[in-house]
Amino acid sequence: MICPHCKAETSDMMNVCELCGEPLHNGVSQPYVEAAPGDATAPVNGPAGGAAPFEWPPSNAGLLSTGTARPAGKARRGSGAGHPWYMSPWPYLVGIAIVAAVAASLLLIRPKAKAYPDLLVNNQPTLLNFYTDT
Amino acid sequence: MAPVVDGLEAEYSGKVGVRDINANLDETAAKFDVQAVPTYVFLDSSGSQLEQFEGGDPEKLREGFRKASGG
Repeated sequence: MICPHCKAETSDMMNVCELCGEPLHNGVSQPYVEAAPGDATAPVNGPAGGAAPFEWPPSNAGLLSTGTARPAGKARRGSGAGHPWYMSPWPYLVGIAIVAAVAASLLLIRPKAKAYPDLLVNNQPTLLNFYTDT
Repeated sequence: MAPVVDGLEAEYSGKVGVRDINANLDETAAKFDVQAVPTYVFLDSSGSQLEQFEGGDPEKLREGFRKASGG
């Protein structure tokens, strides 16, 4: 994130600017206010005297390039239920159907053994005895 | 091998028939890719090939008759 105070870039994991020590909160500079001793209810936002109260998320969060905000009103890609695809049985059923179709087609196109019923003797099992007379 | 075949033909009479085919004259030899004689081909009752082998082995012939007859 960019420190709004010194414009230095600081890791998003840091909550203070690495260069100037400015408190940061997700890309927003947090004005430093020293609480009065014993004043637990001291405001933490801005100097006294009319500064806007701290709000979170900021009203201009969409303009801040934190990279973590999700546009409002847009659902995640996919089904509205929000379940990932592997939670649905349909992909698995489609896969099984494809495998079954391939297996069935392989069985159907398997060449069948040729039959020679015209060579049978009295329609019973027959030995063909190939010989030569030389 | 003729005596062996004749004996088995008699033994399995009515169960297994024998058809003698001259490999030099009959185109059936080409259908079964006969390369040498004697060659024996057993067919079941539907005409499908059960077994094919070359050479005069009486035991193989007897086994072929037994299988072809369903015994």
